[in-house]
Amino acid sequence: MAGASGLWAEARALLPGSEEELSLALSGEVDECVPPLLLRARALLYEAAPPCEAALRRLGDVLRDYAWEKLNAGPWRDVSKAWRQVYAYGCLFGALAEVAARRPLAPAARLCDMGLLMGASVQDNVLARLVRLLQAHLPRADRRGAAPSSAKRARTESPPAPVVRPEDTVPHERCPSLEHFRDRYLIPQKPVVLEGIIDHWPCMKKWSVDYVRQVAGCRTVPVELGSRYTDEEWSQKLMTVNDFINQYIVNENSVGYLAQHQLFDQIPELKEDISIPDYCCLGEGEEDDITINAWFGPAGTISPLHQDPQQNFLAQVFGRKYIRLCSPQDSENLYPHESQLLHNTSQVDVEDPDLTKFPNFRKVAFQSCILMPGQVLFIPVKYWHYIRSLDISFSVSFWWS
Amino acid sequence: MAAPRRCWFVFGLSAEEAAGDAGPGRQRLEPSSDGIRRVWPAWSYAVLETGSGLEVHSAGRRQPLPEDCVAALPSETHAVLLREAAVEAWPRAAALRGELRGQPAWSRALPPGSRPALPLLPDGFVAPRPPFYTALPGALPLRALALGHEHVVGLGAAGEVYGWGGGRHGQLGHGSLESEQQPRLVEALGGVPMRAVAAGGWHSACVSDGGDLYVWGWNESGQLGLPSRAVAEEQAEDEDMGAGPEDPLLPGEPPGAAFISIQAFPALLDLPLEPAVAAVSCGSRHTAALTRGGELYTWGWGKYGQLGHGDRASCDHPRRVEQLWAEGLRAQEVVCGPWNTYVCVLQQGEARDSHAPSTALALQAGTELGSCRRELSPHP
Repeated sequence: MAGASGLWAEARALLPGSEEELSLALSGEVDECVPPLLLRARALLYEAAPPCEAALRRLGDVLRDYAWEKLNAGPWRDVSKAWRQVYAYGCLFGALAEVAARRPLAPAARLCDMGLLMGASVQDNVLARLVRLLQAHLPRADRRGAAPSSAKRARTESPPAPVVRPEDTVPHERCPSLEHFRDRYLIPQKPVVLEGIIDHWPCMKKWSVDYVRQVAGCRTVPVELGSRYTDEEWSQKLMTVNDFINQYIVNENSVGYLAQHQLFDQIPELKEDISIPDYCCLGEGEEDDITINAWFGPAGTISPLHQDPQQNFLAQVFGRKYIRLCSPQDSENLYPHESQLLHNTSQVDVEDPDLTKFPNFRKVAFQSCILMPGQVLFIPVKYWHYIRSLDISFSVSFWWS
Repeated sequence: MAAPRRCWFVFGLSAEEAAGDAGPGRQRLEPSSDGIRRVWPAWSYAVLETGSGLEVHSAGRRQPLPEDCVAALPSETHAVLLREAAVEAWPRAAALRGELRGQPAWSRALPPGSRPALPLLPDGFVAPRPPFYTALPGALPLRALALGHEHVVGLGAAGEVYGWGGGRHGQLGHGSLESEQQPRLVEALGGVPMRAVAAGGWHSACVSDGGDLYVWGWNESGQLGLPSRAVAEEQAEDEDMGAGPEDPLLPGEPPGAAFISIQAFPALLDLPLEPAVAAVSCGSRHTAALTRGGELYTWGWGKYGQLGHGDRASCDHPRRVEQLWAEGLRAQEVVCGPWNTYVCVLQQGEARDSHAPSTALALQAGTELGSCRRELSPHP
């Protein structure tokens, strides 16, 4: 048990030494009923050790559940930072309560991740430090979550890689100069596959499914379930990276995709294995505003034809992706959905178009490529793109302006 | 045989728990001798109407409000109060103290003698948060109105239902996830006159003259009484407590096949044995319904005990609150706070000694000025 109380001491040491130093200041106003709860929890933490974990757990629950309702009460972009901070505090107190109570650490780690995913940084991003500490103390088996040995992959024959005609291929350039890229592709807004520009990134040598398990196995991430986000049965679910790999990568019962997730904010260790492509400096925005997303999934994940409001560099780390592109000038022939939610997405299935329902689709000029590991695809702003993975695949996308 | 007694119970988050203390479990609200007539709950406090006027109940505190206050619509930022000649919004702190000094945050004069059914007002409605007042088109006379976190449900003169506001979770009942700026008729309910409407955080409900219950909106905790993935997973986790750590594989079920996360059109919800429903009320993420026979059914989010089933489990199908029924208590009214449920019951048959310990569950008396306080045994 010495280890357990040692863990509490280490966790507790992540907080400032005195109660006054733990400022509960928030980035804005919150309902009157909330600050007293924050103060109560802080008081518990600075009383004579050990804290009353049942009371701390209750406070964590109430703060989280109250803030959760605020987080869901409108579009995400309108949610105030203050409420996300309250949510993060709720996760912090809840996780600390688990440690104080000497209960298994996986739920505590999950709470930290919930705070990182949905909350906003508090106490200089203490949740990131706490989850790192917990990760180190998780029993080895839980951390790596090796796939059950009985799980021999029952792979059904994957369809053969699509044939790309030379005349439809996206042009390839090896290490073009900034000016060349700007003048030939960025300004005219033409897609291009860049080669040789990420060879030196550590991820190219280090990353594999096993490596991802090692570094992030016990971490909780959002996973998309269902073949396409336009399907009715599509949903999102939170699960650990280990569970995701076991259920959707190693065994392919149904489609699961760790998609469009800012994994590198959540797990800074992985961020050290990548960089920002140099060509992003040609943009107008700040480097800090660049959104970096991870896309990790089995063969067969599909992103339906859609467009994004920023420039995109899609870097392929392992696995191959089949990609079809068409210009925004063809937008009217692509029959975008009418609803607000999906108006950036075409109704047409690129690989099996219903030409009776969508006759103008046959007028659309496509470019295609099979994006290989080490290649980076430049997708101009609002350029329509369709993506299907051909293998277990890990891509990193950079959205910049 | 003494006359049947009316009294109120509450399940779920208490004012004390909202202030960070441990909760007392189920409580009976002890009124002043005049009895409690109405309850208007906020999250951390409630406004009660007794024979001697309105009172504010919060953690360890009861404050009367000025005599001319006749109805309330409280929230965690403000309390809207209906007074003699005006409706006013006061900061929460002022309401908790029972001291309405200086100027309210907002007010609107009312025609003398008018008693609108809050949140409805002549020509519009009031919400307990800025901008407080919203005008309604004159050609839309509404009988009743209910406010959700982001939406509004209205009941028209002929029993027709309107839904408008934020619609991302299907709570408007128009079959989509689109929002609506103006009141829009819920056409799917056309032809069935409704007698009451209710709104929860992100869901809606209504009861027809014939006693049928309709629900729509977000079902993330089973608050629509339809199969919920989260509730199923919570139950599986509880059952799994003894299971080994191996085999995390789920059966190969297509995602979302049996579960309903959003119901964008109204759905008819049958209670077990299909009794006629008399009333419905919605909390943030749970729902409560009364039958004409005096049963209380609850379903949805249960983490704070708000379903009254004696546990902290969420439930995705309507379940009768047995502890009341078994004690011969017949439900007359139900009002849901965000995380709790207030029910007014009538004791059936011979009046029992209401202070005798209940065998079904530890019955607790609230603190009451001037009455004797019973020993409390905390609800597990």
